[in-house]
Amino acid sequence: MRLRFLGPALCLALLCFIAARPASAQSLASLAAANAATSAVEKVGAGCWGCESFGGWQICHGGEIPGYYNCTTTVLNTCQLSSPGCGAGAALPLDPDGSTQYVSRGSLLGVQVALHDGDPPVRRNCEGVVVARKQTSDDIIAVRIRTGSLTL
Amino acid sequence: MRQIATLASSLALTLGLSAASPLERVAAQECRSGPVALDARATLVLPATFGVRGVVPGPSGSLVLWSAGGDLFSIDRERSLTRILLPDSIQPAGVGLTAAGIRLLDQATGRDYLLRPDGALEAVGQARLGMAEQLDQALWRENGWILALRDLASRRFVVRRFFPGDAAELFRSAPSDSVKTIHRYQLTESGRGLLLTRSMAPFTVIRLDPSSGATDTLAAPLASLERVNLPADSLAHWRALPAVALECTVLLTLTDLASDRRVLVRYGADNRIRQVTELDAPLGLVTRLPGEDVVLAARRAGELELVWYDWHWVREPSSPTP
Repeated sequence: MRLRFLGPALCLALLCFIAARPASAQSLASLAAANAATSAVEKVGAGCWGCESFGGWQICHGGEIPGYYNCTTTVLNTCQLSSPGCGAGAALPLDPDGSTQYVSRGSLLGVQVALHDGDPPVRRNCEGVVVARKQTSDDIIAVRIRTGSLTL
Repeated sequence: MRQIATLASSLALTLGLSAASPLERVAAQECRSGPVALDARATLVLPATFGVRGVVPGPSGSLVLWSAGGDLFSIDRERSLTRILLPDSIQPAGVGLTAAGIRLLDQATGRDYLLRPDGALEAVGQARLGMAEQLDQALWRENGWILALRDLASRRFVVRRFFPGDAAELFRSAPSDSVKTIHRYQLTESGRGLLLTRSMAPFTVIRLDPSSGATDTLAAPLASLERVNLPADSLAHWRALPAVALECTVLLTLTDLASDRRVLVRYGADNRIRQVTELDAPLGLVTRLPGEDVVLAARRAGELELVWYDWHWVREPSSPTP
């Protein structure tokens, strides 16, 4: 049993070592983007928008939302804090109710964000940000009651 | 293209664009402020796959919404939806409603388009963007655009005019430490100028004179948030939605991305925070409909829906504030 976990643990240590290198390269890439930006389109950058469980480990996924940002993950990127241009920070697209907005409220590069029957009621990305949520009929009624009249 | 023409024509009718009157700004005859009450009057469920990028109110209570992907929806006074599909190459950073048709400014290229009521789409100009400038938002105002962009070279947020023969810079933020932490502000219109709302903490709201570039910073809300138990270490998950002006009252929605918590901040005419209201429901204030005592909001009650709120002063302000 111990051997079964030793392999993944060693792999993870290796991945963490490798993943640290793109992180430092990222700041250089940012500088390069500033100096050599030739397009008004958001640069592709490493980061994390959503997580997926793989062999017991949370693996980071990038995402692409037209008009907002594009982000890719490094091949061996583990699930860590998002880069600002890749979902975290102010670039994260929001719906006007203040919730996160995700691609067509569907899937995002393998990260399921649309909930179906039997799924947990809330799905979050690596940072704890809610990316999908199911409201019960009681929840909906409560929202309507709380927002029917407001005094500010 | 024929479909676009048909839909555009329908859109023009629903928006009343064929009438010769241009989009009118809110006339600030009096500049009052005080507590406000909002009462929900009507709702409209939005299409499930439509991610709202922006909302612009038109004349006669109409609205136009657009998505980052380039979908356009109009909503008429009777709250019926009309959809227009733009060419894939256009992803609006801003939409303006004019007597001649709908103006669109493409985020990637800065091209300025006019979508005529007959469906014809015409490129009418192009905003000059620097090599290291990235357009975030465009706000149509009178007969030109106000551009909100990030200058990646200087690591600053910049607001600039894109009017015929006028590209004056109005605002330039302090430089950030890195390209990815450049401050981001969202622009909204108010009777006393433009409002710049900083998306992330400290959620600063700046009032900007769109002619002179003079600025006026409203009191930072962070100090007042202690009373609603907002721990500093949770601020990374909080965002500010664009501020909404009701005459001299400014309403700011703060949203927790990790929950349904919202904090609604009301500013008085003196730019000070007058009330902080906590709300446990996914709701954000969107805009005031010009010429009406209506505030548009969005909330999630099963699906994302727009809510029309009638608003009124809780008690009539005793004296107008200049």
